[in-house]
Amino acid sequence: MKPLAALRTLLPGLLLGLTVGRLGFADYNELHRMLLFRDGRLLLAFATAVGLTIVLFHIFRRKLNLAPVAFHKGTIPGAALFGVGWAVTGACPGVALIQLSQGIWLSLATLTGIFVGIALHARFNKKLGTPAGSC
Amino acid sequence: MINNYWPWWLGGGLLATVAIAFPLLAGAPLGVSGALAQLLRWWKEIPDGKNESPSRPTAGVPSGCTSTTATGLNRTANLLFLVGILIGGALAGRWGGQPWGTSGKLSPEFQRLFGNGIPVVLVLFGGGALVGFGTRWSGGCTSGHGLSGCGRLQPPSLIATGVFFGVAIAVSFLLEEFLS
Repeated sequence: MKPLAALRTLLPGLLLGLTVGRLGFADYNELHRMLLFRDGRLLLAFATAVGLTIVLFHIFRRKLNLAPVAFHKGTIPGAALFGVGWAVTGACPGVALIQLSQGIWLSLATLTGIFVGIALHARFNKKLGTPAGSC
Repeated sequence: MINNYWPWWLGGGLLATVAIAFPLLAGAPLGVSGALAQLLRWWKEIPDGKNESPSRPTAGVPSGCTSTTATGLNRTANLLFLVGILIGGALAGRWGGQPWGTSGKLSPEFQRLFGNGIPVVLVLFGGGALVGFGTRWSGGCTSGHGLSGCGRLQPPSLIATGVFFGVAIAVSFLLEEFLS
């Protein structure tokens, strides 16, 4: 892989980690307060991000031809399980990584759990009816 | 509480930048849970270089998700994405993104709800397993469904995002009711 090609994913990853961290999205206090509607800052940030992304995808629609997201049996129950885990640990997959890189060593427990969960899903993938290679 | 977190407009603007820059640069939709899943399937993935310079996908040929990989990235690109997140998170931590000191523990609100003992490790492990299993079963997480999928107005992603946000809100109120 050429050095410049490496930046194609390294840079977006870096900006994602920096932004999520500096926004406070990886801070359980901030996330918990958002989910209790005690603080609108993160909700507003997320809504702004989605709104702007809609506009940007519209602008770049001719450059991008991404596969549609498929609806399947796991779309809703999977999201519900994720919601429980998110509220309890304060971590979505990206946040677990960011917490670790911020020196929150306890998030190793979360991250280990995430990998175990992913492995369990891979183990029962066929029975669960998730399309192969879905993202 | 005093912190110097970024304002909503700056964070929101930069998250949208990531959501559009990632597919433009990498040729696959953004998604951290998919990237972690691919990391776990490391040994099964296509060799490096096969997807070296992502060409613009042609009409009718779906990119990314339907390939044999979870994210449509080759494993080096996938690994670099995750390394980038770690570097960015570390920079954020250095630069005021972790106001609770370097105790290695989660924020005070978490400690108030779940305490400080050994069981906390089990809570985080169990919750993490739900996050890992749930995001893979659902086909996305906060980035894949929430940012990228919703940004592309994909109905499954809009539904999934509503569900995980709704459930997380309900669980947070239940935690306050029964644990605090």
